[in-house]
Amino acid sequence: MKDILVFTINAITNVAYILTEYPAFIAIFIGFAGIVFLRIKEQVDSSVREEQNIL
Amino acid sequence: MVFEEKISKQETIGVIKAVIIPLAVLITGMITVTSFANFGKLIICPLSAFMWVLGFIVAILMPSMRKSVINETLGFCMTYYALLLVLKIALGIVSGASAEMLVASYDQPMPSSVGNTLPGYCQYMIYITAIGTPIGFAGMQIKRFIQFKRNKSLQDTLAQARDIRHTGRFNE
Repeated sequence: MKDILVFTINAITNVAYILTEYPAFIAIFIGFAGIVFLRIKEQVDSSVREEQNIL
Repeated sequence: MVFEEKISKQETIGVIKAVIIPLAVLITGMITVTSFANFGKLIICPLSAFMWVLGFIVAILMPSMRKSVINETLGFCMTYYALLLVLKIALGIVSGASAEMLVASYDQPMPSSVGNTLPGYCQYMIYITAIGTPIGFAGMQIKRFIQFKRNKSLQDTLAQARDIRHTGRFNE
């Protein structure tokens, strides 16, 4: 458990370091978040759920 | 009482893929940018950020072509990062090779300057890739967007003409 915690803290501090050292990464993250959102939205919109009245 | 189907296996895999593929591109980008130090900070990072944001904006503005725009953006970014990494590795390999070593490995006479020109070629390729790819991507997306707008206005005009014919308001 402790190892996972250390790994997570290390990952977060590394991302924070990259964001402070490379400011353009903020724009990359915005683009990434937007693209992921659009891809998930497309998946959810295109899938059809079956609905049936039982009573 | 309504029976509603729960999320299917196929849908779950689709959502996971929707996150994992862009994440893989982002991680490759992080590795590339940080491995190039100052060149990554000043050139690769801002230009690839430009590609990500442009792809996102164009995808929002053109809903009918959203899927292909997103796929192109991710493909271009991945190729950009991967190519730069490969070229950097190639530069590292050829930088350590002297003209004598190349003569020995090709087993034929070669000019003594070849040992110095090879890293130069690799560097040129890195510069051309780093700057040319985002420019090419921007040109492609902007052209596509202009084409889309033109088609859209043509569709609007036709729809307007049909509306006039159906309702007959134009003659009133």
